[in-house]
Amino acid sequence: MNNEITQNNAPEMKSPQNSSIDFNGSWEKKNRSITAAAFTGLIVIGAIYFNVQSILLTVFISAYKAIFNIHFHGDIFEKIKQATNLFKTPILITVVLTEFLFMLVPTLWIVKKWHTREVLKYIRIRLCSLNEILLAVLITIFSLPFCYYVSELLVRSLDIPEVFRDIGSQLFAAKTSGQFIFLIFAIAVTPAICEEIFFRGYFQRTMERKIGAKSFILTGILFGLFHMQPLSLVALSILGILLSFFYYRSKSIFPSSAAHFTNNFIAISLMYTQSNSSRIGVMLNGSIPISIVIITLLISSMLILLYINITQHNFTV
Amino acid sequence: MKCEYCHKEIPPGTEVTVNNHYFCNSLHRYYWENGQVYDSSQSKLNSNTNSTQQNSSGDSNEPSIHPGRMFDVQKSMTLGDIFSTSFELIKKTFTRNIIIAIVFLIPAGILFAYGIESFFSTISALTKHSINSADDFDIDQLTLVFKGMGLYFLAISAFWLGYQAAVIGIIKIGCTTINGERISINQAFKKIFSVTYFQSLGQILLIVLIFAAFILAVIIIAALMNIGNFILLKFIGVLLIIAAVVFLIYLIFRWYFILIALINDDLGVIDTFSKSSYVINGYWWRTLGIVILISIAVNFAISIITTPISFVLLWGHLAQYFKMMNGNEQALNDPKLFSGFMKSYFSFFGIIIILSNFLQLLIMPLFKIVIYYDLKIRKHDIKEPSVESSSSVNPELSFE
Repeated sequence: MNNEITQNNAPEMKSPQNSSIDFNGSWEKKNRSITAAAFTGLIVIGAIYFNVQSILLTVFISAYKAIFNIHFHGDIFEKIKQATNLFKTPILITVVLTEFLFMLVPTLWIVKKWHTREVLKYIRIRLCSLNEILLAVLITIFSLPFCYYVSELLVRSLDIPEVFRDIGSQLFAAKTSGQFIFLIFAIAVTPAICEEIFFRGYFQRTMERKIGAKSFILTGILFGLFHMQPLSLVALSILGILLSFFYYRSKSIFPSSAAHFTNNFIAISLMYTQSNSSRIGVMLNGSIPISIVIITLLISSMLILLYINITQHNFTV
Repeated sequence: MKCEYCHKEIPPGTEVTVNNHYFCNSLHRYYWENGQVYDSSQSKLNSNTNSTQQNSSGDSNEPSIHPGRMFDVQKSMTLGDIFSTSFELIKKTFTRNIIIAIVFLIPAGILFAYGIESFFSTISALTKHSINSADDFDIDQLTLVFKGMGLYFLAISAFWLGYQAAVIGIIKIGCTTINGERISINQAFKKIFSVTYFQSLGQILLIVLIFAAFILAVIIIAALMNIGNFILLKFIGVLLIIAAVVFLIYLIFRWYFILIALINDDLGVIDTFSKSSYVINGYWWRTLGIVILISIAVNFAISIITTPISFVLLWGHLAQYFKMMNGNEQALNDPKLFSGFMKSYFSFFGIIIILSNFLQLLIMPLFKIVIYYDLKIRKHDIKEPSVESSSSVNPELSFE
């Protein structure tokens, strides 16, 4: 035990996982700044993704409205509500398409072109123990009450009217089991693949080579900022830091992907159960008792310590 | 006291000293340290050493990579190079640029926010008056409107003038840094408060005049289209308007680098238009694509930062708005409440606009410089600093 050397804060360049990758991409060959590569990729892909998504949404909705000759009635909020409900499917299809085509594909292309041909190895699509994945999922579940509590606190302090909340939740609510399955694919599976490869597999992985462990905090905060939801910024950043932490410790993308899927899946399930008037759904979507938040936070902290322990083998030379 | 390198007399107080050796400037110190000999008959550098910085033709007298320079004269840049060099340039100039931006943009920004605030306060006061009184506006109230509008116009002008000054300083710092030289804040300020500032205003005036001419042309075409009822005339008119708009867009991009040409190449106002047009010639589409991509990316990066900040700044107003909505839905239609709400709303917009411009100022001009240098490389328009020109370099300049 004494001669074990841990490298928690050392830039990952020196770690054994990196040594076997042949960095033969154009950015690497020219010996350009790694930080510049990470931020260029993040900002350019992010900008393209958001802009294309906005354009496609406008085109889809305009076409849909023109073809079916749709008119809305009532006040402005009522009209928005009707539109959200009606255009839910085109919105979700656009989200799925843009995530795969304008987030995942460019990320993989950048890794191959700029860094290495060993794309899968670079973004760490590698098997890890089932314990690591299950523990990551458990930590996420136990952290959720805290995240929801923080978001709820902000929503309450702003006293956001019911009509606004309804508009937001309408997009993620499923009334039939078929809709529910489609929502799971669009909201839980797609981000668990695309966003994880983009944020963790590319940005964090590249920054890790430069700043080591600090990369997971930076990636987590940027993950929160990227969602452009000020009310959920704190909760999303906490979730982002957790996901990045799983990626950093496990040296695999699977635990963070599983955790991301779990988080989004629970959110959809709560909406689904709420719309079906389930008692648990209503309770969890309302105010969460502070005692539950503290207990789950403590459990989550202990599980994080356990996670550090079971992933220690990745940091031992 | 004579320069150890070129053996010319050094003006007192401008020497660069290294271990009791004196030089005209840092460039001469560098050449002397690297064993490069000045041949006065050829006004050229001859290297005593086997320099690794030879160009492709193997001519060691003209190194393709000048010491400290952030680009290679022999190699045009790829998109990756442009991003990489821009990031490097932002990093190297960040402290100086942020000082310049604070000095010029913050006072101008405060004036701007104040102007917006007073304008909308006036509007708010007038709205209240029209609700409370059936009388028409008297002369005092109309004076108040014009005063508010005047202040608003002045505030926008002050902000824009401050912004222009900051852009000049940042471009000067960026251009010297990309060339491997260093310029102090004082020197950048000198550049801002020089004739360059007025020349830049002259450039803008020219562009405004050209724009006005185009708009006038479009109005005339539109008026001609309505003479009689000739469909062909209308069709030709529409085509002409489209052609005018396309040509205007084309011209805007041809003149995209006029300010950099003014600061970097020390040209006259009219010459900067020719210079910008010259460097972009043959690369118009490429430049258009890169500029659009970078603008989208930079604006996206700025919006990521400003979205939560705007939300925090507007927190009080949003809370008030939602309270109004929750308490009484009719309140939204009450102009009294709404005018009171609007009164201080726009000062926050002022702060957000300042913040966005501040961030944009630290990034966009530097990207522009790198694109300009890439085009100059492609046009073989980069001059190697000859010893004669290097001796005229300000002695305070030094390498990074």
